[in-house]
Amino acid sequence: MSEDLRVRLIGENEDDERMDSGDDEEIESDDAFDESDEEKYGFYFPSNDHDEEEDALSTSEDAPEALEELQDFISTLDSADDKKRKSNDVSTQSASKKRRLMQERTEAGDEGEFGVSVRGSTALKLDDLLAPLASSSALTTLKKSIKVLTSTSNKTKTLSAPLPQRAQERLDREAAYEQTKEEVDKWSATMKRIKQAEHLSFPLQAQSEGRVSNLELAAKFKPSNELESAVDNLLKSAQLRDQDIAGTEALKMAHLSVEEVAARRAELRMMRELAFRVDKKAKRIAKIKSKAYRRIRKKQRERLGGEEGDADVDVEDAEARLKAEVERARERATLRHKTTGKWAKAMQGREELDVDQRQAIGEMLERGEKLRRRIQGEMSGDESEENESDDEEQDVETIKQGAFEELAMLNASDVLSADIGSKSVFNMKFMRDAAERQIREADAAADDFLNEMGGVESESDDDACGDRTVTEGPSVQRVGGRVVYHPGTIPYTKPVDSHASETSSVTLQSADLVQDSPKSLNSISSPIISSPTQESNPWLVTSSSSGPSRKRSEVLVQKGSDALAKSTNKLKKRIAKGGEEKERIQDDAVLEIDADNVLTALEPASTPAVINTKHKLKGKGKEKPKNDSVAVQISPADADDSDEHSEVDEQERTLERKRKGGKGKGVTAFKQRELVTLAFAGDNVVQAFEDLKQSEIEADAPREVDTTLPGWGSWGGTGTKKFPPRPNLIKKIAGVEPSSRADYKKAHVIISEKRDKKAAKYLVKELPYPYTSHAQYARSMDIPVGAEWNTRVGFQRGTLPRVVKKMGTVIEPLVKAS
Amino acid sequence: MASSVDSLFVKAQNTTLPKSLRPTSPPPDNVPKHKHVKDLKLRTKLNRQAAHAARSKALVEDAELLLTNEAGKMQVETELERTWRIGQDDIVQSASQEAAKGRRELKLDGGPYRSRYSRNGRHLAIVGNMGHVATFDWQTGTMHAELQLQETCRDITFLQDQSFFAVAQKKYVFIYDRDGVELHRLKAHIEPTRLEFLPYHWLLASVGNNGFLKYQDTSTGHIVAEHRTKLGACHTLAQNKHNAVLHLGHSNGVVTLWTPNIPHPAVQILAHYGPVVGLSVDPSSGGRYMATSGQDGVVKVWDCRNWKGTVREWTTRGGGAELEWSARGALSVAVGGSVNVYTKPSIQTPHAPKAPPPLYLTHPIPHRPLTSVRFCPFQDILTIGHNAGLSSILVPGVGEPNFDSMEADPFENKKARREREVKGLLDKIQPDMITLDPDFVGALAPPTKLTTAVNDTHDIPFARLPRLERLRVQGKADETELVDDDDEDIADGDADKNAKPQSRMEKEKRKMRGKGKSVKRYLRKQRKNVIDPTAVAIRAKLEKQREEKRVAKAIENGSMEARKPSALDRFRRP
Repeated sequence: MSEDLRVRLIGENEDDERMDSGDDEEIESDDAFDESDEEKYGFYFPSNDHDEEEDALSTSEDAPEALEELQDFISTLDSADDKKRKSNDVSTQSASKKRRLMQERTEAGDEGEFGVSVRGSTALKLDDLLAPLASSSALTTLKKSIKVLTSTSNKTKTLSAPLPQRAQERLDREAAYEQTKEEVDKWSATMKRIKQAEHLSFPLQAQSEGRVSNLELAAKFKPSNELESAVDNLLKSAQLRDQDIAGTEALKMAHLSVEEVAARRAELRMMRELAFRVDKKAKRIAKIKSKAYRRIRKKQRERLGGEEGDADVDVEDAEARLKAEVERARERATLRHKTTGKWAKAMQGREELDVDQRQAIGEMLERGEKLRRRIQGEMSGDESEENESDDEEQDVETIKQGAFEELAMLNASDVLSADIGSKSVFNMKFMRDAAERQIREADAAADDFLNEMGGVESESDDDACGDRTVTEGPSVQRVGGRVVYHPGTIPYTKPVDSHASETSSVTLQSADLVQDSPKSLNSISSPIISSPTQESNPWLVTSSSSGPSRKRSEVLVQKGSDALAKSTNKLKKRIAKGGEEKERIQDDAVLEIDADNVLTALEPASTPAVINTKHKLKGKGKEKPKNDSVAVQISPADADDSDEHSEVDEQERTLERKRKGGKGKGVTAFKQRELVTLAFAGDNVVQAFEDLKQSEIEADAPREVDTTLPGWGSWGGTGTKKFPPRPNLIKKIAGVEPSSRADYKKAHVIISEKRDKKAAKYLVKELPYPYTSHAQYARSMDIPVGAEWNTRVGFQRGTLPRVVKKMGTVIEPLVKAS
Repeated sequence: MASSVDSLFVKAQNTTLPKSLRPTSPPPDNVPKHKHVKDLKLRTKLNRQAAHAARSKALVEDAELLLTNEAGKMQVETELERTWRIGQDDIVQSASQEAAKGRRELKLDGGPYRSRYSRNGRHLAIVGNMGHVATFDWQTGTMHAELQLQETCRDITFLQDQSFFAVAQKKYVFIYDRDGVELHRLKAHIEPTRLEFLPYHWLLASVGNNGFLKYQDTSTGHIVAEHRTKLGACHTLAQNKHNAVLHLGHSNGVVTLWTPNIPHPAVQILAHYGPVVGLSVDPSSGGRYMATSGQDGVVKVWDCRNWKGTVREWTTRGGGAELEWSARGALSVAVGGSVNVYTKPSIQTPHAPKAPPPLYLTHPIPHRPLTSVRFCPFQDILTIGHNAGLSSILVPGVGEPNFDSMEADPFENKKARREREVKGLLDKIQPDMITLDPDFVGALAPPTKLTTAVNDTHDIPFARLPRLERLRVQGKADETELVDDDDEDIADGDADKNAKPQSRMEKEKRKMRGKGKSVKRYLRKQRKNVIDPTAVAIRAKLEKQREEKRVAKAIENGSMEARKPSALDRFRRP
């Protein structure tokens, strides 16, 4: 690289510079200059052909290895030619470089002093020499074959031997694989998505459904029948088809200048203006209104807020301004908004314009318009700012005044531009009526605004709006044949307050503030006053203290509660009526049994009076000392079976007992029931059940069976020694351990542990595939599938198959989107 | 390429759920995320299932909004009031006119009566002990059939709907059609005392004086099962509507539970010391509670899930009580001369003293004995059969207010009845699907409890183990959550036992066929006595990797210090 550079430098200012001999020695010029270099600097070497010869030589005996190169180098050193050159070098060291090069290179050419002149003209090339042969085909084929050689560098001029077939094929396969992989990888995301999808409905790629648009239909339309073709012909002859219309329009528009376009636009705008004038007016009124309000509001805020926020406002203003400036600069930078621009001027000069250009002109005009409007707007903004700065001293009245003036101007302008375009659609009657109605509405809005402003004013200042009209009662208007009734505007009358008059310039809100405050004070203070009376209300106090003390009805029998006893006056009275007779009857029916005497006799179920020790009472400790002998009381209701209201009476009695707090009676009742139980008990049922259970457990338990046959494999008879059974003859029968039984330690129940063979076929023996635990599978089976246990959506969702295919549709393979 | 893939996505859009089924709200928060499951496919599946379960549950809860009818119930205003003090006259007065029609007295001759409502509560079948049989639509008052059979009749039941009914007569069971025409004489059922019809299995069950429980399929006519109870004549039969198990009460105080599959009772309970008289299973709580009453007048409420004992027991006066649970869990006890109704929360909460639960309503009936109590489905009506006919009383708040018209429609017409009959036949469940646990179909078989006495260690080869065991051995089973069964704990113990360190040979043996790393397989296949340079090299390499791994682990544990780099490292051979 550096060598290249140097050579070029030398070549450029060959007159002044000299080449070091050492350098020259080191550089093999042939090596240093590439083929391409040769082309570049070919004119330094008048005899290129020789050079090529040498090249060919060197490559023919080519040896890429370093050693051979070295040898070559040495051999070239040895050659006489080189020696001679060396001597020349030494002798002509002072001579110019040109000459030296000439000497070095040109062996075939004449080396006279005139030879130098060749350098001035263009370098001689092989092509120049071959020029006369250009027409022969042999040369062209030759050239073609040479092309490979000439284009490549020295070293790869011969083609290398092809790789062995296997290696080549492997490489090909690898490359092909890479390619295919890349191609297939494009699908991997899609395939992943399809694989992981919860649900697939084929075809996966939905047909582009949706209606065909009219334009599409029109574009595709071809006249099929006679009528259609006739119509088409007519249209064609009249040049009224779509493409024709577009063409004629383009033709017409092509010659338009900027001014004409502008005129056209103005005309269009006028039409639009006519159509939407009223709307605009309404908008304008609304704007004026809101502006006036805003200003008044601002005033007010300023008055209330004071001056603390000024600095912040300034800062914010500055920032906003900066931003706006940047925006504007950007706008300017586009340079498309003026006709003074280079581009615009160029456009203006042109006669026929194509669509794009026309569009561009339109855009430009629009932009200019916008900018102008902006400037105006800013100016007006400035104005308003000025106004507002003026308004610092001004009052609300002036603001209002301004608003009214603006409104008046609006109305005036309306009058000015009353009728334009006498022959348009707008002159038709219904249009006029509609317009009138709209105008009326807009006016009404304006009037409303006036009234409102005036209303506000009416408290403060009456003079401000002299021209406002206050209508009272419903107003009747006749618009286009129909009578419209509006509710009349009711004059705004506020309850006259002393505060309002004091603060004449204070606006609505502040007045409200002042008005509200006493009310709120009242509202706060009133409960404070009333509270002591509430507290001292004796009715409330008593009722709250004797609130219903809820208790569970479960404790019905267990213990008497005082609260209940207190409050059962009513019940008492009712019972007291027939109380005495009842008591007498009860006393008669009381049967006293000495429990201690009876306890010794232990024949179960023999007599109803017998009490088994097994079934002794649990609540023994609760018995009172006076009840030495347990009295079994047979109440009249028990005795008399034909009593209709037996349960009611029983319940009532329970309540009464509780009220009295008599525990002993409850206990006696239990005693009696025990007796009844025993009376009806079967014989030894408990024992029988226990035996049954025991036998069941034993039958199920694992056991060993000795299968030895006496006399087989051992000596029998008397006096023989008894051997222990051989282990291979002991048969082990699998069973259920008693401790692992479901009814283990439950004496009153036997649960069969035998296998239900018929039901076993409905069980799954192995854990199904994807699940890795019992719980996972159990949970998956937990969800009921049927419609009986699910809502419609839940059922459908639960039973939706993973793949859904519409019957009869052809499933196309997936297509990659373009 | 990215853009093309994106557009491809846009194109292949039918990979999501249909719009109508797409969830409108995010799934509830408590849906398990299964983050511990490593297998992505399984995790996705589990997550989807969990989300679907949560969603459908929420949807069902939402749909309960549509059950607009409310069950009224008598409530006391003050503490002094008692609901049982309110008599039928008061209730009839305060009830609406239509509801008040439920209060009726049928005065009939011919002995104590029994009754049975059809499943939609529209039709009533009554049978007197002396042979008077009648079926009628009690709301319109149209009589379907009235028969005088002139022999002892002990029970009656409708079959799938009002168009057939079976009567347990003196010697056999007879089936009549709606108009009272005798269709079948079931000679297999001898001296039947009680009848039950299992509607989803189409099974008519009878139990008789000979102590046989017989199941007959009414759609095919075959006898499905005949079980000898060996406990003598039986006069009490009830079905658990939740799992179609039949409960028999015997004279020795034992209650037995039967399924058609097994020839012995699935469960036997010593409920009373005397004969069992009344028996009923609560339909409101999924068959969880059973009430029994003995001849001695004791009423017991049992928890059927674990049979740990009685939830509640108390003594009534007047002998054996007829029992019946209503659809909303009110228990009616007809004993002595009155019918008492107890309501739900108190009757199912355990209460130690043998005190009767707070009474909800009572009604005296002068005509003893009271032989049957039946609640009318979807009505607040209790019909009591007694010696002088039948009395219907109003019991507010005991009937299910909302009916499922797919299941039992009180207002169904002729066509709907036909449709339902056909559909019921198509949906008929096989009799061998009756077990104590009705959700067992499709469940994983529980591990067997069978054990041999001495040598418990079976040496089952790995390949023949069940999948769950294989997963456990491989350490792939998900042990984080266990089904809260007792069985599962045992299985867990097994897993621990199997988790003992295995020898390498054992591991090799238990390896799944067809799996394994290629290098290891290669090495395994190399003979040990053949020295192959490549195999040696691979072994050395593996050894080196193992050593590196060991060192890294040791460093991590802190038992070894990491080697510090030294200046001489540059001379080390890589």
